[in-house]
Amino acid sequence: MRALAPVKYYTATSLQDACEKLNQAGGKGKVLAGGSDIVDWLRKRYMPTPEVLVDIKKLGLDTIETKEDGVHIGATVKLSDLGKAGIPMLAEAARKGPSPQLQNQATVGGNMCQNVWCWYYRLKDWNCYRKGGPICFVPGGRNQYHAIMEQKVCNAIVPGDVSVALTALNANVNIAGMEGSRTVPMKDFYIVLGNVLKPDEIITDIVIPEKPSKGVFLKSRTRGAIDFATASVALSTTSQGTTVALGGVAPIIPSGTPEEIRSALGKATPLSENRYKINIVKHLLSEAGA
Amino acid sequence: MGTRFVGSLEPFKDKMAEQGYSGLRYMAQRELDVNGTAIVTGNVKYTSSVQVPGCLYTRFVRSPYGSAKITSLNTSKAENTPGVVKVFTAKSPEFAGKLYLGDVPLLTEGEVFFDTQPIVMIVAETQEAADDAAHAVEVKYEVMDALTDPVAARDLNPPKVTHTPRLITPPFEAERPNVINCFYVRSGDIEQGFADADVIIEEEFTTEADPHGYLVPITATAQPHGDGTMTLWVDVQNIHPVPWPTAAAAAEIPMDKLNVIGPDVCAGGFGGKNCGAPGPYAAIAAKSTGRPVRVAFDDNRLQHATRPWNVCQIKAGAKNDGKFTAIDITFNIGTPYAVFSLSVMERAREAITCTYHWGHRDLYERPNVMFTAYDSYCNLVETMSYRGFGVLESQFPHETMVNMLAAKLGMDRLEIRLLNLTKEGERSAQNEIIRSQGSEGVQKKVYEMMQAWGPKPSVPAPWVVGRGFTGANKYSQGDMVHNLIFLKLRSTGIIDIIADSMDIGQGMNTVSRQFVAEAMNIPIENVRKVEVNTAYVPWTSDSFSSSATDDIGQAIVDAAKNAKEKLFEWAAPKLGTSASNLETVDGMIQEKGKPENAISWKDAMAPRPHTIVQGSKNWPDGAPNDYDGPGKNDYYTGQALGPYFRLIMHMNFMAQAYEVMINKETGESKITKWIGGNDALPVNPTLLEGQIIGGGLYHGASNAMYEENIYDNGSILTKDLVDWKMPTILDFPKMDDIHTAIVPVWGEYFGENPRVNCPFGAKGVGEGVDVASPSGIVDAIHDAIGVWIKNAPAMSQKRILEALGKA
Repeated sequence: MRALAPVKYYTATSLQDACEKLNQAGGKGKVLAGGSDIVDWLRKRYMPTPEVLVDIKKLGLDTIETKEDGVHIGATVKLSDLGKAGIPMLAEAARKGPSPQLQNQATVGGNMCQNVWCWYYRLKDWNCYRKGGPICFVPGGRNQYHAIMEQKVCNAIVPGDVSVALTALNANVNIAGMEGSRTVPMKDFYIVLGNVLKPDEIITDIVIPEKPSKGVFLKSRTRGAIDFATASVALSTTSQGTTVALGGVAPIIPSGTPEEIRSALGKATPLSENRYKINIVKHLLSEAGA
Repeated sequence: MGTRFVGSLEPFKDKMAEQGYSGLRYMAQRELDVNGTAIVTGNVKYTSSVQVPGCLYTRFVRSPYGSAKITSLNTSKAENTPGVVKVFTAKSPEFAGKLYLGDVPLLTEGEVFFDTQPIVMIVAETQEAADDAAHAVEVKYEVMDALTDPVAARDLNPPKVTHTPRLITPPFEAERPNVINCFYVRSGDIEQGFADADVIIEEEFTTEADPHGYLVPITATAQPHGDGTMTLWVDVQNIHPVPWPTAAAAAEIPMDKLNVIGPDVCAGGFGGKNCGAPGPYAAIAAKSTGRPVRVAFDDNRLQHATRPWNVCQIKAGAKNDGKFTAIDITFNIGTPYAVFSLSVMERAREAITCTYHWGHRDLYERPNVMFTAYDSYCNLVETMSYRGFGVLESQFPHETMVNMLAAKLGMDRLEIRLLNLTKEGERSAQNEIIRSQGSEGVQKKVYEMMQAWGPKPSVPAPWVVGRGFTGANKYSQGDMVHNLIFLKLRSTGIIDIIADSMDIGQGMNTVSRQFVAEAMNIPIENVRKVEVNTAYVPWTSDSFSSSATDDIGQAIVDAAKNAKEKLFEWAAPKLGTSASNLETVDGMIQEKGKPENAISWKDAMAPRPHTIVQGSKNWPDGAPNDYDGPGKNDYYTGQALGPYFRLIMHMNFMAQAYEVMINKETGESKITKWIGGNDALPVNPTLLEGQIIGGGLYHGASNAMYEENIYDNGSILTKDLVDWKMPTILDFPKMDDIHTAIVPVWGEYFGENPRVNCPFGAKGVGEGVDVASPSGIVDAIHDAIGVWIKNAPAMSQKRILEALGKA
């Protein structure tokens, strides 16, 4: 077995404690919840490797509660518990994610924050943009699982399925940090080279303002289980209208009305090996009724 | 549970009796796998669970590039990492100049030729220290263009010459600078064959380098004993021909001072654990440090070695009535070093020439076959033996070509095959006499079972259903050595089998016990197979090339004869009769037909507590060893020469049928029904069915489904199980839709002078089960979407949608 890279490990005693520890780590700290992503990262010593882990499992962020402003899902709620939120399409997204064993371990927050699976990013000898290098190797290299839109400087895709569902549900992400709390709409959570979290910040909970009257999550993948989406579509209809979100297609999660999404798909910029994804997305949109 | 058809063994009982068979007591019985309980409860002694006090641990620094110069190497930080005991490089005296399996440096310097090539080996007190030190090694590379196209590599003027000077020169076509081996078959008149053809199809197929996929990484632990001797535990399929001498040579220890111990069960091998590759490293490090050292290839287990990347150019001709007229087939494989690749295409040659008459007997005196294979240096990953290597690569284009011809001629896929099958006693295109050709029976049975599926099920659009059918063959290579086993007969009536032929999950520990119990007519509970080691276990043929069943079986039949002779010699005077009038029944020695005049083994053997007998698989006096060595065949034409020369020991023939579902808009696909058939006479039907299903469906089909190996300039990008997509159980049919058909024929070796029976007629099947899979799947895909995909793997979403013009 491969040994983990050396890390300093802390169990946070409060939200403030967690943020302080992360702040002290100077950008080299990572949150540890289920650990299904970060432990593998440390074991294989992918670059960049964190040096500090802050365990947040004891902060009581593992509850699902319905409040006035919507359904609050704590950041450390396990994927296998998402069914308790009473939103079937969200549970479906979790169910179609990792293996059942990992669903019992992985958390919603962790699923949102997991590292991308671009092979150039994960292999340490390819110094790509995401690692601070000068280039993305994907356009000139092997790219059949990579982005077909919104590429800008990176062509990796957001790997998590739950994020796609949360985006279609118009969720808001509550974040705590050294400078206090803030809320970010899920549709703005991802930026091209990662997400909006600052080094000292952690997700506390995700709020779904309204349960949809119609919710669909469709995922296309190569093998029947334990596989990332080659493309996915989430659709949510509420009193505010219908929102569609796409997974497996971009380093962010494109979302909007069905018409906006179809228009964006029409302007897709596929790479040399992944044009097939466009057909898949069109089909999933049609199946979802978007 | 799906159908488990097993043909009758009644027709073979007389022949079995000639070998001491006692009446279906254990032959063809569904004995439980003797290791089963231990395996499922975690109590098997795998090599990876060997623990030795004071053991050191290792980690390699490997090249991430397919082709690069090493411009600098700095190990000083690694050497100063706490816990590090030793840092080895190619310059270390223990490694300097040492090559493995012909041309591979154990540690390289100066230039790297494949991704994962080892450069540095760290030895440390803990795994953590070894890992930390490995990360502290500073290597700088100048990346070069990698040569990854085997067709370009074989050229007279290739894009680059990989090794200068060339490390191995081929027997001919040496003017091709990267080529290290060639195989030919030249039979009949190929030009006439194509001139006579009414239809000709010409295609190119690619089979990608596929890792073995065993889930337990290969490990070795070496323990020096301070007196010049050493014990080496290594996860291998066999201990003798490769692991033992290579480890001893690498560590410069006399073989007699190195005791190599194999596992109780080799935890998944599929050919990838034939060589015991970690063994030389463990032995060297143990000798150098004077301490036990553990080496585990768990950092690159998916890419330790693979099938070769193969591009096949094939042209075949047939008459309008379906009779084949000619085949011209060229294989091109690429490998960074020779290792096992030198013999890969030898297997392909045998596979092409034995199932069908390419040049129908009604039309030609000899088959019209031109077979050419090039093995060239490339910057692809190392090649190792792999379950049917050379044969899956050859059967895919070969059997797909048969299906293409059937489609073009409007013929049924079974009909065209039956028309062109080789027959018992005919000579193949390599001049081998074909024996035990069971294709007709097994192809008919599998086809009949496929017809019993009825009409295709209705499925919602855009899903479509397709069904595919294929035949195939896989040979077992001729012997390399005399097979020798010992049986230790205890006076308690227990027999210990002392033999190699490791159990690699195929059930050899159980099968060998069944052979002994059958031949000796004793309860199977009284038979055991002991630990495999080089200290006292003789060299029995090894668990590769599907030869173990035959080889150990032959030796057991011989040993049982010798054992009974000895027992009867001692018992006869005590029973007052002659030795020829005795038999063994249920562990007693009795006068034939007179159970009241019987004696226990203990009494017969008294005062001896035990005795040892040996059995071997010998050829008749004066007959040379049959292995394909120099002079055994005409190397230029691939023709067998002389009465004794067998290129092939025995061959088994198989058939498969598939039903697949394809989504024409997403490219998703899965296998929904499956049938696998084989013509072997089953020693243990349950284990054989396990081989057929596990090998043919789960393993073989995986090669053709999603297991893509993706390279960028020689660097492997698919380095873990997320990216290298081994199918899950959800991609396969449910057990009710998985069917097997065992249609036995009597197992016999190819050739004559003498004719040689397999032990109790049983042939080995471990590899043949998987070689038919790609052609079956591609036929099913064609039936579903009307497109031939000429690449294995075939079922990625990208490939399917591209085939449909939707990408």
